Amino acid sequence: MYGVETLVHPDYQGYGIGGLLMERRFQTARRYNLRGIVGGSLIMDYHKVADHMTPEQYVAEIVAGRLFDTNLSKQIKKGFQPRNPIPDYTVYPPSRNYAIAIIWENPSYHKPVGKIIPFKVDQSRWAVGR
Amino acid sequence: MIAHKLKPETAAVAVIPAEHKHAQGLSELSFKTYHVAAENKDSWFKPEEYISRINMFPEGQFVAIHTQTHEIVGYTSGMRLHFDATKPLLTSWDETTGYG
Repeated sequence: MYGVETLVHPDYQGYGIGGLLMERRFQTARRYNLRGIVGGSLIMDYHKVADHMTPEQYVAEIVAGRLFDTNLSKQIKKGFQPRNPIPDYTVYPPSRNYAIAIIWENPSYHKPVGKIIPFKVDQSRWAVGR
Repeated sequence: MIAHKLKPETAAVAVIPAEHKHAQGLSELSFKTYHVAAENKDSWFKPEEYISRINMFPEGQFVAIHTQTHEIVGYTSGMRLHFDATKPLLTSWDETTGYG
């Protein structure tokens, strides 16, 4: 599943509504045996350090807990793992148009059972009148 | 500010599957959350785009509704995607979602 967007009304942010919404998407992923959820995290606080830090360095600082990003830090807390930066993800000055690819792997995913290979029947054994 | 209504001890938000009737409210939520200026609203997401997402993959669309005011206060949207986890995701949002 691809995370298209998650929105919380500005007056209602900080009450865990984003977490409730994301939990429902995790449920859907489990119910339909999807491998996981992938998306682009708009690093909305990157502009504060963008003059002296690459997106890779910024993510390393966030993972280490030395910097906080309003989007990415919360997504990591929910179980997403940051992967690579995506330049020109969308027009969004606070993140300098970058997003960080994030992945949540469905822990209960199981590979579908492979194709059933029919065994060969020796037709002559069933022939009538021999 | 209406956020005081939502202190943890009085929290009254229900998360339910998104339906067509929520599309107008979702469009308005998007204006507020992204602080879209009035003159740019025409080029922003329209209710039909939320309906299209609901039709494509209803199991991936949820709204958070204030149970007393019935206002839509949150939304999340997912779509089905074949993804090769061994390769980095590098495509833009527009490219992946077909412009939403």
